[in-house]
Amino acid sequence: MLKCWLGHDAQVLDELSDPQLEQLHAALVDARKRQAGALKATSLQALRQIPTLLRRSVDKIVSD
Amino acid sequence: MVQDQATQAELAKLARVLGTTPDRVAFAESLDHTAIRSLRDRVAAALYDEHRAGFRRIARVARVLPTPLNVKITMRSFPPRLAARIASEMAPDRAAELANRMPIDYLAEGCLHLDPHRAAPLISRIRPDRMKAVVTELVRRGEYITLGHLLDAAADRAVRLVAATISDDALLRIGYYTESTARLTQAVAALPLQRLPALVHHALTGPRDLRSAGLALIQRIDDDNLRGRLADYAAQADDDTLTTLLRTAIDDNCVPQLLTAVAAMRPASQQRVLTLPALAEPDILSHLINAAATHNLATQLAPMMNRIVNRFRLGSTAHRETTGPTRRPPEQP
Repeated sequence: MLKCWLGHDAQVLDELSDPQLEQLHAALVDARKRQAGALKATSLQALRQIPTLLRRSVDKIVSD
Repeated sequence: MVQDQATQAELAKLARVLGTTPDRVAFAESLDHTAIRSLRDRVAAALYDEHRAGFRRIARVARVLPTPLNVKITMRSFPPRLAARIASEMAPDRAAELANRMPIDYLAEGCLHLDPHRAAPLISRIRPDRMKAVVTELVRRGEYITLGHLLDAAADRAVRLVAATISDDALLRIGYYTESTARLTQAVAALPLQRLPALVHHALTGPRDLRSAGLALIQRIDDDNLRGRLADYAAQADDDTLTTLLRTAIDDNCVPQLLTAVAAMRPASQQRVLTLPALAEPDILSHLINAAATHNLATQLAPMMNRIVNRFRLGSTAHRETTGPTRRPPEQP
C-alpha cells in the first residue's frame, strides 16, 4: 500500500522494518484523512459564498 | 538515539509535512538525513497530488471571478492551509495578485503549508513589503522550518530582503532548516560586514541549540572566504566560550562541523584555538581524532591534529617533569 502511495521506486521504504512501515502507514492515513475532511468542508462553504448569479457558471466549471 | 543535526532537522520537517508531532515520526530515526528527505519529498508529493484535481477546479473558479470577490471568498471560506494549496494551482501572477491583498497573518499561516518547490514562482511575485511583513510574522511565531523552506524558494531579491530583515538569532535558526547551501550562503553574504562578528558572537554566547546551529551554518556555507571569516571571528572568543563550544560540538554530535570551521581558519586563528587547555583532555582529543577520521577530514586537518597531539604529548612530558617520573605498577606474576 505504501508503495502505491509513495511510488513503487521509493527505495527508502526498503530501509524500514515492518513495525516502522506500520507507523509510517498510520501517520500517512491520518494526514490523508485530515486533508480530505478539510477540503470537503471548505469547498462546500466556498460555493455558498459565491453570488447566485455566478453560481451556475461556477458549478459548470467545477463539474467539467 | 543521538542524531546528527541534519537528521534532527529532517525529522522535524517530516513531522511538519505529515501534520504531526516529532515523536510520531520516530520510526524514521534509523534513516540517515538524505533518506528522510527522500521520504519527506515522497509524502509531500503524495499528499499534494491526492486532491490536486479538486484544488485545480477551485483554482479554475478563481480565474473567472473578480479579484475582490476572490479575496472575500477565500477569507470567508478557506483556511490558509487550503488556500495555499489552491494558490499553487493558479497562475503565479493571479495568485500573487490575491496574496498581495490578503492580511499578513493569513499569508503567514498559508506559508506553513506551501510546497516551496511548486510555490517558488508565486513567492517571487509577492511585493517586497508584503514579503518582509510575512517574514517578520513567521519569525515572531518561531516558524523556522517554514522560513527555511521560503529561503530555499526565494528569489535573489527576497534572500537579501530576508537577511536584512531578520535578527542574528532568527538567521541562525532558519539556516538550520534551509536545504539550499547556495541560498544560505547568499543570505549570510548579504549581511553588512559589521553584522558578521555579531552573528558569530550571538551563536557562541547563545543557548546550546544556537551554538549547534552556528556550527551547522559555518559548515554548510559554500564560500570558503566567508566560512573562513566567520571561523576567524569565532577564534577571537575567550577560552571559556570556545571550551563551551567544543563541548557542545561533542554533546550534539557536530564535531565534524567544528573541525570544518577550524580547518577554514587562518593559521593564526588555528594557533589561538590550539591553546585551549581543554584540548589536553584525552576524551576530547579522542573525539576530535575519531571525527576527523570518520568524516574524511584527516588529510585536511592532519597538520593541525598533529600539532594538537604533539602539544598534548609535550604537556604530558612537562607534567611528568614537574611531578617526577611516573612509577610503574609492579608487574603481576
